[in-house]
Amino acid sequence: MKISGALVELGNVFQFQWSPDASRLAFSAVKEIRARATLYVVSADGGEEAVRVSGSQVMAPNENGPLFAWSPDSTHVAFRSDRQIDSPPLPNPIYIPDTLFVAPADGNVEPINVSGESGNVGPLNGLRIARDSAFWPPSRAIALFSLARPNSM
Amino acid sequence: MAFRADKDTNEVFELYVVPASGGAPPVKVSGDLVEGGDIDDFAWSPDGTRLAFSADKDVASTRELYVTPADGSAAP
Repeated sequence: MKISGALVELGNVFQFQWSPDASRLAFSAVKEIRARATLYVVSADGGEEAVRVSGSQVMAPNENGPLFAWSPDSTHVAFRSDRQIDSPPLPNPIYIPDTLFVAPADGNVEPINVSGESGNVGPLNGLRIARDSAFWPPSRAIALFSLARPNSM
Repeated sequence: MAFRADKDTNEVFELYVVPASGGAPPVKVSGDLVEGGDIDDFAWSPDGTRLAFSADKDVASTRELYVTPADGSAAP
């Protein structure tokens, strides 16, 4: 069963991850807008359209590691972004610092910047959501993420 | 366990499931592929009942996302 739905011309699915409760998958894809990789969540049973959860953000590339992570309770996803969807196309995009965002998995609100406005968030290798995440509103979310090397977990 | 292999057609990588203890032949669970298609990546569901995989299965050079029962009981 194909669950990624229709893709824009030259679109592709890049990475995907099961939710911990096995009910849904998150996947990054160029799905709606050419040359813009965004993040989606879809039911593993199909029958529902994938919902974009990255809002107005574009996924930052990380070819050697994960682009996003689920919360342990399968309610939220975290991802790294380096620009907005309305950034000019290559070769003249307007980048923002690599920023960590958190979004509800049902995509009903714009993702929240949890890493702040300054500095760059490193690749998400080893990203773990530190504990179960009854963590909305987002003012509490930043405390629930940790960036650590995988072998230190 | 699941694995990718060009088991049935040279240079066409498909997805198979086989008991880790052996004793049964691998079951192809990726279904038919478009000419030039391949399985790109796969992951078990946390409950071990299904596999998600990305593949250019329906359109050559376009990776899409699929879910299939791990026992091959239904086409993806």
